[in-house]
Amino acid sequence: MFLREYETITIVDPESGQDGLDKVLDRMREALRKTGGREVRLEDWGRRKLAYEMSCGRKGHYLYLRYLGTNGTVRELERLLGITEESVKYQSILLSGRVVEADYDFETNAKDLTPIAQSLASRASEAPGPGVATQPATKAEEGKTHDA
Amino acid sequence: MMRKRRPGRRKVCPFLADKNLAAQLDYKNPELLKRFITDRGRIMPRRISGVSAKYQRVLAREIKRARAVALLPYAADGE
Repeated sequence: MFLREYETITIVDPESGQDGLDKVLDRMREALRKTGGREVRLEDWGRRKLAYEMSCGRKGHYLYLRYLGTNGTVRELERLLGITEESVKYQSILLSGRVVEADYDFETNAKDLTPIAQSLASRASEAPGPGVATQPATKAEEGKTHDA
Repeated sequence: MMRKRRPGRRKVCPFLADKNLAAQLDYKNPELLKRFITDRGRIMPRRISGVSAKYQRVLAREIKRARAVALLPYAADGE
């Protein structure tokens, strides 16, 4: 079956706490489950200072999800994110079209960190403390606050 | 009398000069993109940054995507 590779960034209201974060994650995974999508990588960038003020204030909790799916997957994901109050903003980008699921290298792509995740990981390795949640296809942990 | 402006040295496109840099050109990399916006948050014109036409199009697209998810500002506050 031909799928496409997408990535979606969601900004979650930091005031909603871990419960809000879990709710958004569950909704995203539900969308993938319902439409036959497959999660490739989930990154929790934690709380970041926003470049401009939004309804959640000047800070937001960023979630990055990379997945395989159809246009229906994106439609359902965005529909659910749109009705979830805790999700303030979202953006989906098409990475590549016509991916054959059987030939897709999940392992390599799951390890492919985004630049922000790389800088968070290097910061975490320099300073002692809790690590950054950049696990492939696992539930996000609460990230620490950092200013961009 | 009109003074003729001496043509400045033509800058080399940083993305053509360095393939690694071109590969890092992504809306999720605001640190790199920040070099190509002014202090007011506007996209720097090619004649200032020296970027080639091809990469200016890519740069503009990525900056706009980054703005959409608040990784870069649309306009700087106040100044």
